[in-house]
Amino acid sequence: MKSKLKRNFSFLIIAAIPLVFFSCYPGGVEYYSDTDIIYTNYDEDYNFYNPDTKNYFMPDTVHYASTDPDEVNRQFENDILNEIEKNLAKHGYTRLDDTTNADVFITATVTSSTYSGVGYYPGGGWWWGGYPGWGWGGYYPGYPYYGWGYAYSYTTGSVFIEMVNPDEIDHDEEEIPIVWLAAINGLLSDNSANTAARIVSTIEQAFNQPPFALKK
Amino acid sequence: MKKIKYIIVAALIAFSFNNKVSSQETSYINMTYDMSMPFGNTADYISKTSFRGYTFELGWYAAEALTIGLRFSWHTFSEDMPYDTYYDGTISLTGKQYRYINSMPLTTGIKWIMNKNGHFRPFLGAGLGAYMQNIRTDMGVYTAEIKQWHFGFYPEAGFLYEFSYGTGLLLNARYDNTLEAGGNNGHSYLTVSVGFHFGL
Repeated sequence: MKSKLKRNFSFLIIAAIPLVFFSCYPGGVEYYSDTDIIYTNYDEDYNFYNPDTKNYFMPDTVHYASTDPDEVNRQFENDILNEIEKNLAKHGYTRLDDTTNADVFITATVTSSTYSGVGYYPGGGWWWGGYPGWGWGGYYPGYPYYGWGYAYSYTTGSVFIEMVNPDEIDHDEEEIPIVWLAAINGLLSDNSANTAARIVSTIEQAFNQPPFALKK
Repeated sequence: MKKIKYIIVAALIAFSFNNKVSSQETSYINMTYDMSMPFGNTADYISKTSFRGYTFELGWYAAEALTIGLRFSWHTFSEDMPYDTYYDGTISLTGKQYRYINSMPLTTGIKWIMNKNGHFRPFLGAGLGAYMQNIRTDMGVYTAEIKQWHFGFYPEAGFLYEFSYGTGLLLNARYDNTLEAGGNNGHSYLTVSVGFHFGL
Protein backbone atom coordinates (compact mmCIF):
# COMPACT_ATOMS: atom_id res chain seq x y z
CA MET A 1 0.00 0.00 0.00
CA LYS A 2 2.92 2.33 0.78
CA SER A 3 4.39 1.98 -2.71
CA LYS A 4 0.98 2.67 -4.22
CA LEU A 5 0.66 5.78 -2.09
CA LYS A 6 4.10 6.98 -3.19
CA ARG A 7 3.28 6.38 -6.86
CA ASN A 8 -0.06 8.10 -6.60
CA PHE A 9 1.39 11.06 -4.79
CA SER A 10 2.82 12.54 -8.00
CA PHE A 11 -0.60 12.23 -9.64
CA LEU A 12 -2.16 13.99 -6.67
CA ILE A 13 0.29 16.88 -6.95
CA ILE A 14 -0.47 17.34 -10.64
CA ALA A 15 -4.21 17.12 -10.06
CA ALA A 16 -4.01 19.69 -7.23
CA ILE A 17 -2.24 22.40 -9.25
CA PRO A 18 -5.42 23.93 -10.75
CA LEU A 19 -6.94 24.22 -7.29
CA VAL A 20 -4.27 26.73 -6.25
CA PHE A 21 -5.68 29.10 -8.85
CA PHE A 22 -9.28 28.53 -7.89
CA SER A 23 -11.37 31.61 -7.23
CA CYS A 24 -14.75 31.85 -5.60
CA TYR A 25 -15.60 35.27 -7.10
CA PRO A 26 -14.49 35.31 -10.75
CA GLY A 27 -15.27 38.15 -13.16
CA GLY A 28 -16.62 41.44 -11.86
CA VAL A 29 -16.28 45.15 -12.48
CA GLU A 30 -14.09 46.23 -15.41
CA TYR A 31 -14.88 49.91 -15.88
CA TYR A 32 -15.74 52.78 -13.54
CA SER A 33 -19.17 53.05 -15.11
CA ASP A 34 -19.86 49.41 -14.12
CA THR A 35 -20.11 50.66 -10.52
CA ASP A 36 -22.82 53.22 -11.26
CA ILE A 37 -26.16 52.59 -9.62
CA ILE A 38 -29.28 54.72 -9.83
CA TYR A 39 -31.90 54.40 -7.10
CA THR A 40 -35.24 56.21 -7.27
CA ASN A 41 -38.32 56.17 -5.06
CA TYR A 42 -41.48 58.27 -5.01
CA ASP A 43 -44.69 59.02 -3.15
CA GLU A 44 -47.52 57.05 -4.78
CA ASP A 45 -50.11 59.60 -3.62
CA TYR A 46 -48.48 62.54 -5.35
CA ASN A 47 -49.62 63.37 -8.89
CA PHE A 48 -46.50 63.99 -10.97
CA TYR A 49 -48.55 64.44 -14.15
CA ASN A 50 -50.84 67.29 -13.00
CA PRO A 51 -50.16 70.13 -15.49
CA ASP A 52 -51.10 72.71 -12.84
CA THR A 53 -48.33 71.71 -10.44
CA LYS A 54 -45.34 71.64 -12.74
CA ASN A 55 -43.55 74.83 -11.72
CA TYR A 56 -40.47 74.25 -9.65
CA PHE A 57 -37.71 76.16 -7.94
CA MET A 58 -34.13 74.85 -7.85
CA PRO A 59 -31.23 76.79 -6.23
CA ASP A 60 -28.33 77.81 -8.48
CA THR A 61 -25.90 75.82 -6.39
CA VAL A 62 -25.48 72.24 -5.38
CA HIS A 63 -25.41 71.44 -1.69
CA TYR A 64 -22.27 69.64 -0.50
CA ALA A 65 -22.75 67.35 2.46
CA SER A 66 -19.25 67.86 3.80
CA THR A 67 -17.87 69.77 6.76
CA ASP A 68 -14.42 69.96 5.18
CA PRO A 69 -14.27 72.82 2.61
CA ASP A 70 -11.21 71.19 0.96
CA GLU A 71 -13.33 68.20 -0.02
CA VAL A 72 -15.85 70.31 -1.89
CA ASN A 73 -15.32 70.02 -5.63
CA ARG A 74 -17.62 72.26 -7.62
CA GLN A 75 -16.26 71.07 -10.96
CA PHE A 76 -19.42 69.18 -11.93
CA GLU A 77 -21.99 71.55 -10.44
CA ASN A 78 -23.21 72.91 -13.78
CA ASP A 79 -23.36 69.43 -15.31
CA ILE A 80 -25.63 68.30 -12.48
CA LEU A 81 -27.96 71.33 -12.47
CA ASN A 82 -28.21 71.52 -16.28
CA GLU A 83 -29.04 67.83 -16.59
CA ILE A 84 -31.74 68.02 -13.92
CA GLU A 85 -33.30 71.07 -15.61
CA LYS A 86 -33.12 69.44 -19.05
CA ASN A 87 -34.83 66.26 -17.89
CA LEU A 88 -37.52 68.03 -15.89
CA ALA A 89 -38.27 70.19 -18.95
CA LYS A 90 -38.70 66.97 -20.95
CA HIS A 91 -41.48 66.01 -18.55
CA GLY A 92 -43.16 69.43 -18.78
CA TYR A 93 -41.74 71.06 -15.66
CA THR A 94 -40.83 74.77 -15.73
CA ARG A 95 -38.03 76.24 -13.62
CA LEU A 96 -38.85 79.47 -11.73
CA ASP A 97 -36.41 82.06 -10.37
CA ASP A 98 -37.95 82.18 -6.89
CA THR A 99 -40.04 80.07 -4.58
CA THR A 100 -43.17 82.27 -4.57
CA ASN A 101 -45.15 80.40 -7.23
CA ALA A 102 -43.26 77.11 -7.14
CA ASP A 103 -45.32 73.94 -6.80
CA VAL A 104 -42.29 71.86 -5.87
CA PHE A 105 -38.69 72.50 -4.84
CA ILE A 106 -35.76 70.56 -6.27
CA THR A 107 -32.50 70.18 -4.40
CA ALA A 108 -29.28 68.51 -5.44
CA THR A 109 -26.76 67.26 -2.88
CA VAL A 110 -23.32 65.78 -3.49
CA THR A 111 -21.20 63.67 -1.17
CA SER A 112 -17.98 61.75 -1.56
CA SER A 113 -16.39 59.11 0.65
CA THR A 114 -12.95 57.54 0.54
CA TYR A 115 -12.38 53.99 1.66
CA SER A 116 -8.97 52.43 2.11
CA GLY A 117 -7.42 49.43 3.76
CA VAL A 118 -6.17 45.95 3.14
CA GLY A 119 -8.43 43.07 2.25
CA TYR A 120 -8.08 39.33 1.92
CA TYR A 121 -9.83 36.84 -0.24
CA PRO A 122 -10.02 33.30 1.08
CA GLY A 123 -8.69 30.75 -1.34
CA GLY A 124 -6.08 33.03 -2.84
CA GLY A 125 -6.35 36.34 -4.55
CA TRP A 126 -4.59 35.72 -7.84
CA TRP A 127 -7.67 34.66 -9.70
CA TRP A 128 -9.71 37.55 -8.47
CA GLY A 129 -8.40 39.51 -11.40
CA GLY A 130 -9.45 42.67 -9.66
CA TYR A 131 -6.12 43.82 -8.46
CA PRO A 132 -5.32 46.27 -9.83
CA GLY A 133 -7.26 45.73 -13.05
CA TRP A 134 -10.51 46.60 -11.35
CA GLY A 135 -9.65 50.21 -11.85
CA TRP A 136 -10.61 51.28 -8.36
CA GLY A 137 -10.56 55.04 -8.29
CA GLY A 138 -7.64 56.59 -6.49
CA TYR A 139 -5.80 53.26 -6.23
CA TYR A 140 -2.55 53.96 -4.40
CA PRO A 141 0.22 52.26 -6.40
CA GLY A 142 2.86 52.56 -3.67
CA TYR A 143 0.90 50.39 -1.28
CA PRO A 144 2.56 47.04 -0.59
CA TYR A 145 1.00 43.62 -0.96
CA TYR A 146 0.13 41.87 2.25
CA GLY A 147 0.49 38.17 1.61
CA TRP A 148 -2.51 37.01 -0.36
CA GLY A 149 -4.30 40.24 0.31
CA TYR A 150 -4.59 43.41 -1.70
CA ALA A 151 -4.34 47.06 -0.78
CA TYR A 152 -7.05 49.41 -1.84
CA SER A 153 -8.10 53.00 -1.70
CA TYR A 154 -11.10 54.24 -3.58
CA THR A 155 -13.47 57.14 -3.56
CA THR A 156 -17.15 56.98 -4.29
CA GLY A 157 -19.29 59.92 -5.25
CA SER A 158 -23.02 60.29 -4.70
CA VAL A 159 -25.59 62.69 -6.09
CA PHE A 160 -28.96 63.00 -4.35
CA ILE A 161 -31.81 64.80 -6.11
CA GLU A 162 -34.94 65.48 -4.08
CA MET A 163 -38.32 66.86 -5.03
CA VAL A 164 -40.08 68.52 -2.10
CA ASN A 165 -43.78 69.38 -1.88
CA PRO A 166 -43.85 72.67 0.10
CA ASP A 167 -47.63 72.50 0.65
CA GLU A 168 -47.24 69.45 2.84
CA ILE A 169 -44.44 70.73 5.09
CA ASP A 170 -45.31 69.97 8.70
CA HIS A 171 -43.88 72.85 10.74
CA ASP A 172 -44.92 71.34 14.08
CA GLU A 173 -43.24 67.99 13.42
CA GLU A 174 -40.50 69.69 11.40
CA GLU A 175 -41.04 67.25 8.56
CA ILE A 176 -40.39 68.05 4.93
CA PRO A 177 -42.19 65.66 2.57
CA ILE A 178 -39.99 64.41 -0.24
CA VAL A 179 -42.23 63.18 -3.06
CA TRP A 180 -39.41 61.95 -5.29
CA LEU A 181 -35.82 60.98 -4.57
CA ALA A 182 -32.97 59.91 -6.80
CA ALA A 183 -29.71 58.62 -5.33
CA ILE A 184 -26.84 58.03 -7.72
CA ASN A 185 -23.61 56.39 -6.64
CA GLY A 186 -20.42 55.23 -8.31
CA LEU A 187 -16.65 55.13 -8.12
CA LEU A 188 -14.97 58.43 -8.90
CA SER A 189 -12.29 58.34 -11.56
CA ASP A 190 -9.42 60.76 -12.09
CA ASN A 191 -10.71 61.45 -15.57
CA SER A 192 -13.09 64.42 -15.24
CA ALA A 193 -14.53 64.00 -18.75
CA ASN A 194 -15.46 60.43 -17.86
CA THR A 195 -17.03 61.52 -14.56
CA ALA A 196 -19.00 64.32 -16.25
CA ALA A 197 -20.34 61.92 -18.90
CA ARG A 198 -21.40 59.43 -16.20
CA ILE A 199 -23.15 62.18 -14.20
CA VAL A 200 -25.14 63.17 -17.30
CA SER A 201 -26.12 59.59 -18.22
CA THR A 202 -27.04 58.54 -14.67
CA ILE A 203 -29.22 61.61 -14.03
CA GLU A 204 -30.94 60.94 -17.36
CA GLN A 205 -31.54 57.34 -16.24
CA ALA A 206 -33.09 58.56 -12.97
CA PHE A 207 -35.74 60.33 -15.04
CA ASN A 208 -36.24 57.20 -17.16
CA GLN A 209 -37.52 55.35 -14.09
CA PRO A 210 -40.97 55.57 -12.46
CA PRO A 211 -42.83 57.83 -11.88
CA PHE A 212 -41.45 59.75 -14.88
CA ALA A 213 -41.33 56.66 -17.11
CA LEU A 214 -43.11 53.33 -17.13
CA LYS A 215 -41.50 50.16 -15.83
CA LYS A 216 -39.67 48.32 -18.58
CA MET B 1 -11.68 0.86 -41.81
CA LYS B 2 -15.03 1.27 -40.13
CA LYS B 3 -15.10 -2.44 -39.30
CA ILE B 4 -11.67 -2.24 -37.68
CA LYS B 5 -12.94 0.52 -35.40
CA TYR B 6 -15.89 -1.63 -34.32
CA ILE B 7 -13.58 -4.58 -33.68
CA ILE B 8 -11.24 -2.43 -31.55
CA VAL B 9 -14.12 -1.02 -29.50
CA ALA B 10 -15.64 -4.49 -29.01
CA ALA B 11 -12.26 -5.91 -28.02
CA LEU B 12 -11.69 -3.12 -25.50
CA ILE B 13 -15.09 -3.70 -23.91
CA ALA B 14 -14.54 -7.45 -23.80
CA PHE B 15 -11.08 -6.92 -22.34
CA SER B 16 -12.44 -4.56 -19.71
CA PHE B 17 -15.07 -6.99 -18.46
CA ASN B 18 -13.16 -10.24 -18.73
CA ASN B 19 -9.67 -9.40 -17.61
CA LYS B 20 -9.47 -9.51 -13.87
CA VAL B 21 -6.73 -7.38 -12.38
CA SER B 22 -4.81 -8.13 -9.26
CA SER B 23 -5.66 -4.88 -7.49
CA GLN B 24 -7.64 -5.64 -4.36
CA GLU B 25 -8.02 -2.12 -3.14
CA THR B 26 -9.59 -1.54 0.24
CA SER B 27 -9.87 2.22 0.00
CA TYR B 28 -9.43 4.95 -2.58
CA ILE B 29 -9.09 8.66 -3.26
CA ASN B 30 -10.95 10.35 -6.13
CA MET B 31 -10.10 13.82 -7.42
CA THR B 32 -12.16 15.37 -10.18
CA TYR B 33 -12.62 18.56 -12.11
CA ASP B 34 -16.33 19.44 -12.12
CA MET B 35 -18.62 21.25 -14.54
CA SER B 36 -22.07 22.11 -13.19
CA MET B 37 -25.32 23.00 -14.92
CA PRO B 38 -27.79 24.94 -12.74
CA PHE B 39 -31.46 23.96 -12.42
CA GLY B 40 -34.50 25.33 -10.54
CA ASN B 41 -33.80 28.21 -8.15
CA THR B 42 -30.14 28.09 -9.03
CA ALA B 43 -30.88 28.62 -12.73
CA ASP B 44 -33.31 31.44 -11.88
CA TYR B 45 -30.47 33.29 -10.17
CA ILE B 46 -27.55 32.24 -12.38
CA SER B 47 -28.26 30.56 -15.69
CA LYS B 48 -24.66 30.02 -16.81
CA THR B 49 -22.94 26.65 -16.54
CA SER B 50 -20.11 26.59 -14.03
CA PHE B 51 -16.67 25.51 -15.18
CA ARG B 52 -15.14 26.08 -11.75
CA GLY B 53 -15.45 23.12 -9.50
CA TYR B 54 -13.64 20.20 -8.00
CA THR B 55 -14.28 17.22 -5.79
CA PHE B 56 -12.16 15.25 -3.33
CA GLU B 57 -13.49 11.92 -2.21
CA LEU B 58 -12.15 9.37 0.21
CA GLY B 59 -13.80 5.96 0.21
CA TRP B 60 -13.60 2.51 1.77
CA TYR B 61 -14.91 -0.85 0.62
CA ALA B 62 -17.58 -1.89 3.10
CA ALA B 63 -18.42 -5.02 1.12
CA GLU B 64 -17.29 -6.68 -2.10
CA ALA B 65 -19.09 -4.19 -4.34
CA LEU B 66 -20.15 -1.49 -1.90
CA THR B 67 -18.17 1.56 -0.83
CA ILE B 68 -18.75 4.20 1.79
CA GLY B 69 -17.21 7.57 1.10
CA LEU B 70 -16.71 11.11 2.31
CA ARG B 71 -16.84 13.88 -0.26
CA PHE B 72 -15.90 17.54 -0.31
CA SER B 73 -16.70 19.61 -3.38
CA TRP B 74 -16.52 23.25 -4.26
CA HIS B 75 -18.66 24.57 -7.12
CA THR B 76 -18.60 28.22 -8.13
CA PHE B 77 -21.30 29.70 -10.33
CA SER B 78 -21.01 33.27 -11.55
CA GLU B 79 -22.77 35.53 -13.99
CA ASP B 80 -22.32 39.17 -14.96
CA MET B 81 -25.82 40.50 -15.47
CA PRO B 82 -26.36 43.20 -18.11
CA TYR B 83 -27.05 46.81 -17.13
CA ASP B 84 -30.70 46.65 -16.09
CA THR B 85 -33.39 48.13 -13.85
CA TYR B 86 -34.87 46.15 -10.95
CA TYR B 87 -38.20 47.12 -9.36
CA ASP B 88 -39.67 46.68 -5.90
CA GLY B 89 -42.92 48.61 -5.39
CA THR B 90 -42.13 52.27 -5.93
CA ILE B 91 -38.39 51.61 -5.78
CA SER B 92 -36.34 51.33 -8.97
CA LEU B 93 -32.67 50.40 -8.97
CA THR B 94 -30.50 50.45 -12.09
CA GLY B 95 -26.99 49.10 -12.54
CA LYS B 96 -24.90 46.06 -13.32
CA GLN B 97 -25.16 43.06 -11.06
CA TYR B 98 -22.48 40.45 -10.51
CA ARG B 99 -23.92 37.26 -9.08
CA TYR B 100 -22.10 34.38 -7.42
CA ILE B 101 -23.03 31.08 -5.84
CA ASN B 102 -20.39 29.10 -4.01
CA SER B 103 -21.68 25.67 -3.05
CA MET B 104 -19.54 23.46 -0.83
CA PRO B 105 -21.02 20.02 -0.20
CA LEU B 106 -19.64 17.98 2.68
CA THR B 107 -21.38 14.63 2.24
CA THR B 108 -21.24 10.97 2.95
CA GLY B 109 -22.39 8.45 0.38
CA ILE B 110 -22.43 4.90 -0.85
CA LYS B 111 -21.54 3.43 -4.23
CA TRP B 112 -22.42 0.14 -5.77
CA ILE B 113 -19.47 -0.86 -7.95
CA MET B 114 -20.11 -3.24 -10.82
CA ASN B 115 -17.27 -5.45 -12.05
CA LYS B 116 -15.08 -4.43 -9.09
CA ASN B 117 -12.00 -6.37 -10.19
CA GLY B 118 -12.16 -5.40 -13.86
CA HIS B 119 -10.56 -2.47 -15.63
CA PHE B 120 -13.92 -0.94 -16.49
CA ARG B 121 -16.12 -0.37 -13.45
CA PRO B 122 -19.49 1.31 -13.78
CA PHE B 123 -21.08 2.46 -10.55
CA LEU B 124 -24.27 3.91 -9.08
CA GLY B 125 -24.32 5.95 -5.90
CA ALA B 126 -26.22 8.25 -3.57
CA GLY B 127 -25.43 10.37 -0.56
CA LEU B 128 -26.45 13.13 1.76
CA GLY B 129 -24.92 15.75 3.99
CA ALA B 130 -24.39 19.42 4.73
CA TYR B 131 -23.92 22.01 2.01
CA MET B 132 -22.52 25.45 2.72
CA GLN B 133 -24.02 27.74 0.11
CA ASN B 134 -22.90 31.30 -0.24
CA ILE B 135 -25.09 33.52 -2.43
CA ARG B 136 -23.63 36.90 -3.24
CA THR B 137 -24.77 39.85 -5.35
CA ASP B 138 -22.46 42.76 -6.10
CA MET B 139 -24.08 45.93 -7.39
CA GLY B 140 -22.22 49.22 -7.59
CA VAL B 141 -19.76 49.21 -4.73
CA TYR B 142 -22.21 47.31 -2.54
CA THR B 143 -22.49 43.63 -1.74
CA ALA B 144 -25.41 41.57 -0.46
CA GLU B 145 -24.45 38.13 0.79
CA ILE B 146 -26.20 35.12 2.31
CA LYS B 147 -24.20 32.29 3.89
CA GLN B 148 -26.32 29.32 4.81
CA TRP B 149 -25.85 25.65 5.70
CA HIS B 150 -28.38 23.45 3.90
CA PHE B 151 -29.27 19.80 4.14
CA GLY B 152 -28.79 18.15 0.77
CA PHE B 153 -28.64 14.87 -1.07
CA TYR B 154 -27.58 13.47 -4.42
CA PRO B 155 -27.81 10.48 -6.75
CA GLU B 156 -24.86 9.75 -9.02
CA ALA B 157 -23.77 7.42 -11.80
CA GLY B 158 -20.47 6.98 -13.57
CA PHE B 159 -17.63 4.70 -14.42
CA LEU B 160 -14.00 4.20 -13.64
CA TYR B 161 -11.42 2.92 -16.11
CA GLU B 162 -8.30 1.58 -14.43
CA PHE B 163 -5.52 2.29 -16.91
CA SER B 164 -2.66 1.40 -14.64
CA TYR B 165 -2.34 -0.64 -11.49
CA GLY B 166 -4.41 1.16 -8.83
CA THR B 167 -4.90 4.28 -10.91
CA GLY B 168 -7.90 5.03 -13.06
CA LEU B 169 -9.78 7.61 -15.01
CA LEU B 170 -13.10 8.61 -13.50
CA LEU B 171 -16.17 10.06 -15.20
CA ASN B 172 -19.44 10.61 -13.39
CA ALA B 173 -22.62 12.68 -13.22
CA ARG B 174 -24.16 13.83 -9.95
CA TYR B 175 -27.32 15.78 -9.20
CA ASP B 176 -26.86 17.84 -6.04
CA ASN B 177 -30.03 19.05 -4.38
CA THR B 178 -30.39 21.15 -1.24
CA LEU B 179 -33.49 21.94 0.80
CA GLU B 180 -34.68 25.37 1.92
CA ALA B 181 -33.01 26.53 5.13
CA GLY B 182 -33.21 29.66 7.22
CA GLY B 183 -35.75 31.17 4.82
CA ASN B 184 -33.29 30.77 1.95
CA ASN B 185 -34.04 28.78 -1.18
CA GLY B 186 -32.51 25.40 -1.78
CA HIS B 187 -30.45 24.87 -4.91
CA SER B 188 -29.97 22.14 -7.45
CA TYR B 189 -27.45 21.49 -10.17
CA LEU B 190 -26.13 18.66 -12.31
CA THR B 191 -22.39 18.10 -12.20
CA VAL B 192 -20.33 16.22 -14.73
CA SER B 193 -16.95 15.27 -13.27
CA VAL B 194 -13.80 13.98 -14.86
CA GLY B 195 -10.72 13.06 -12.88
CA PHE B 196 -8.56 10.40 -11.33
CA HIS B 197 -9.13 7.44 -9.05
CA PHE B 198 -6.29 6.26 -6.83
CA GLY B 199 -6.74 2.86 -5.25
CA LEU B 200 -5.06 2.33 -1.87
